[in-house]
Amino acid sequence: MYLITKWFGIFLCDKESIIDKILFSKDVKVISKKIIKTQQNEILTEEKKIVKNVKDVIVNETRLKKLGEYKPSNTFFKKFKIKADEFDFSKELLHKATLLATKINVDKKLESEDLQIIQMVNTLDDFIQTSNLLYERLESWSMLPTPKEKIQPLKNAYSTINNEIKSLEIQIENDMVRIAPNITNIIGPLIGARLISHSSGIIKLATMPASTIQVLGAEKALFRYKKEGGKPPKHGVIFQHSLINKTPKEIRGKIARTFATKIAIAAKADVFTKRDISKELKDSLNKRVKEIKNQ
Amino acid sequence: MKLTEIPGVFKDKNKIFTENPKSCKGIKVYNERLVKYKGKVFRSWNPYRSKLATAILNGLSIKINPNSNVLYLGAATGTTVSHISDILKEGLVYSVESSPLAVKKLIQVCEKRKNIIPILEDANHPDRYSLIVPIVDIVYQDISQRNQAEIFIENIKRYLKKNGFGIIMVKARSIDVSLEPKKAFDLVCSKLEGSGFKILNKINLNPYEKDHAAIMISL
Ligand SMILES: C[S@@+](CC[C@H](N)C(=O)[O-])C[C@H]1O[C@@H](n2cnc3c(N)ncnc32)[C@H](O)[C@@H]1O
Repeated sequence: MYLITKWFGIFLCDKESIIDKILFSKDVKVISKKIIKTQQNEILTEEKKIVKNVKDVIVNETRLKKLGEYKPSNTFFKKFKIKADEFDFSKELLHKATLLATKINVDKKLESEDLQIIQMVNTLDDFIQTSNLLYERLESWSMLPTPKEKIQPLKNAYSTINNEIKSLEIQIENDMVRIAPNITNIIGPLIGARLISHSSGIIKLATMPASTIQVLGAEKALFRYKKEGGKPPKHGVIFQHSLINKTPKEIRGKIARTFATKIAIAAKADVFTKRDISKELKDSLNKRVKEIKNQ
Repeated sequence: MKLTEIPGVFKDKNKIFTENPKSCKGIKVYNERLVKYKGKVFRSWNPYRSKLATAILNGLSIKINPNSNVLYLGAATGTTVSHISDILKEGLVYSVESSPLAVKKLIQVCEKRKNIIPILEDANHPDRYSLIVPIVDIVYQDISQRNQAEIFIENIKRYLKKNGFGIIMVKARSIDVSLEPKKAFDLVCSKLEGSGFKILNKINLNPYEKDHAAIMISL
């Protein structure tokens, strides 16, 4: 018996004809869900049901190996055609269902790509911290008259980690340019990646107001302010940008606010419209920064 | 504007065009030119952007008609796919692409063109889209991977109907950088013949694409 799954139903066939079938309901959502499930390598409940108590099942998808013998080059599968229109399933339905399934798949894939970026940038920050620790240790040890070979392992470790930092930065930059070109252009790949990390994902970042983006990474300070009062934090990780941390204290808050506003727009473009608007954004950012400085 | 020997493909001077469907009035896919002629709108098919346009300009004759079903591997953002969509009426173009970002753009093209079926999958695993793709009249592939010949062979075996044909766009450098282009093309041809395919035509894509060739096969 041959088990054949199509987008409109499941079929069990012998050499000449369809012996048993389960048709899906003619509903875009239902069909797109079935498509997504199979693309995630799952076996559908209908597939399990139809082969129950059936012997010698032959399948042509690796996904279905558990249900039968996998024989993709068996000529039956190519000769025996099961056509959607014979069961009253239209091309329009196929189009709508695959469009919906593919949209969902794309978003899932892209989402998991930003999860990779989060891991990378967190690793980078661990490396940087470790590098600083090793540097301090190296400095204090170097004060003593020390034989070269004694200090060599520490020097090796220090240089290894610095090389890894460089290559990780390049990787992050490559991925950021691809996934978030607008954010990258406004605030740079590393700070951009840290913003994605602090918001736990680019989609979440894209739905945040500028005021939240401005203090991302200053969560501890924000918490302290809420609990104990005092001054609210003016900026989080975006403070790492030289245009913010190199400007006089009085206008820092304003400049940070401007950056945050542009990043909010950039993130929306990266996630939703997928248009590269970084040039316009950067021009208006520079203009606004100038205005603030001249006030 | 004259119809060429390929149904749905038109020629004016040295340029080729396909007819823009009514549903896509005024919409460009990749900044191509829209030209009005006798009440119809035609989209210029740019050989610098589409290897299939180059192959046709260089003399490749393809038996495609409005009812053909096409499996397209390496659809990218839909540049070439959109012209195939113009040519087809009843037929569908099943468009497989593995890059989620490219597919994100491809989806925008699909919204207006109901005969494009988008599939986010790796063409190395043709069984993953057997739910959606039927036996087709044409398999077209434009994937610059080292194992492009193997990908093509597996998909042809599974999806091409008996009297259909396949076209593969081969980039010599992605087969083997150290090989002379001609040798790389020969290598692909011998692999295809080794799988029992007949080579129907081999066309160089100069001057638009350097060291590329279109190879057409049948079963
Ligand atoms: C040269 S581009 C295709 C351009 C397109 N054919 C056109 O003319 O509009 C090659 C595409 O193949 C895709 N690709 C590479 N490996 C693939 C695979 N294993 N499965 C599906 N697509 C793949 C790439 O992501 C890229 O978008």
